[in-house]
Amino acid sequence: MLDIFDFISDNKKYTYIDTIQYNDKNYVAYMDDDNVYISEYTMDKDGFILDDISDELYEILIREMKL
Amino acid sequence: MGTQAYVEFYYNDEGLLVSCARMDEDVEYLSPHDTRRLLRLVDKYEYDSVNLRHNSIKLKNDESEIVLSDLRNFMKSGEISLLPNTLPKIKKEIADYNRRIAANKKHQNIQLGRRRVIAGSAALLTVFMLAVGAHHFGKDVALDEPSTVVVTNEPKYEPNISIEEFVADAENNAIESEPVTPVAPVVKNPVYIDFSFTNDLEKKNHAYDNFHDIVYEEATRYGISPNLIMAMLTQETGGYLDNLMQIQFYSWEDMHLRIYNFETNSYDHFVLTDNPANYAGTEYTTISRRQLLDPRTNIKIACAIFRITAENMDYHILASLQCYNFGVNNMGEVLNLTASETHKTVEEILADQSDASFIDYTSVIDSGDKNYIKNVLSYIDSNGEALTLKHLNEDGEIVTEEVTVYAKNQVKTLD
Repeated sequence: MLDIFDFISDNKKYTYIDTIQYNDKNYVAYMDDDNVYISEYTMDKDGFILDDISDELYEILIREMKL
Repeated sequence: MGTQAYVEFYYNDEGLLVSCARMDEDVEYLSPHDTRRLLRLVDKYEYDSVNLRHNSIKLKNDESEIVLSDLRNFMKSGEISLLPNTLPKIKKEIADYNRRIAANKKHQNIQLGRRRVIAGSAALLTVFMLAVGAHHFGKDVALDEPSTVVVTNEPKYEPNISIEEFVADAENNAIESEPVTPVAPVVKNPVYIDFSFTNDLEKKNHAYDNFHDIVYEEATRYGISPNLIMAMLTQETGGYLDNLMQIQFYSWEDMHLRIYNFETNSYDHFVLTDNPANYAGTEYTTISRRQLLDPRTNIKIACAIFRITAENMDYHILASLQCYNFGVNNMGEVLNLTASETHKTVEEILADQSDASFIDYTSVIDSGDKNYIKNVLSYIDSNGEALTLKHLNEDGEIVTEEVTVYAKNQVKTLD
């Protein structure tokens, strides 16, 4: 994997995959060595905040993002 | 390549974005100011293909080939945002690239709680900004529509000047700031070889799509530039056969393969063998005929074999490449003939990375591929591509050999 797509959150490294806008909210898909994650993201002056999503929404976005 | 204009954007030693434009046999280097203007012009064109390769993005259409080298710096500086029209395609290519890697991972909605992405990840902030910016242009996504390609609602802007005309007139365009002396890219050991880039993009893309990640990891681990191993793999099998790198088990059977691992700073030891019991309790990892067909193992052993040939070729990269196909004895014969004909010593030839004179004498060998170097190079990504090879010198220090390869019929000599 190219490390230019890596980011750190909670002292752990993840790799960005893709983003999507759904129902006026922004979501990002990313991965570590084992798993693919999807979080809602919002921006503030210091950077980005990631929030968990429901299992149902996860399945929808996995399908939409063709993951 | 069938292109009329070839433009490469890259960062100079001062960290400024500059560019080099090649049109037919003319080469022009543009200042940072003109480079940014050219980047904006480049964004106005439509591109048939957008490809992510190692640390660069390549944009192609019938009239031009644009390379954004050093993608890391492009994203870190945010200058990629100077391409708002092309950004959606670049974002899609990045997503497709990473999506292929994600395909083999678990898909579980693990709750990690609210957290922050460290702002120091400047490149990632730019990637996220790609999404924010693209969505600003685009329309909302509904469930029944393709979701990851954002369609811009803005009208297409037709450029009223060609790249050629812009470059020819570049000095006259620099009216907004003090002109900066353009700096040519640092090119190490340029060598001009008579080869052509492949038209078999299906084979090239098949090999890349299926094996690039493994090649990148293993080649980097063993100090070989991934583009070289990737081109070799493409030439050998295109990724269509199990023995990806066409390693002859019987040729290397029970020979000790010792290869320096630049990640662990120690040696890895392998042996191809039908009798693993003979190596029980030793430092050697035994590889059976069946195990050799595993893609990662195959590529790893190919790297080991390449390094062994390189040790015999004084780390001359192109000689090592031909030697990978010919074998050490045959390559020795080629070098001896070359030395005799060119009135140099073999040591002098191998001491100069840009000396590829031995290519003219490979026909002295009846077996193997006399044109192996040219055939492999046909699969590299771009003209003026650097091939590198690390090794340890006598003092145990890491030395990086480098050669920059040009197709002789594609570019005028850069003096």
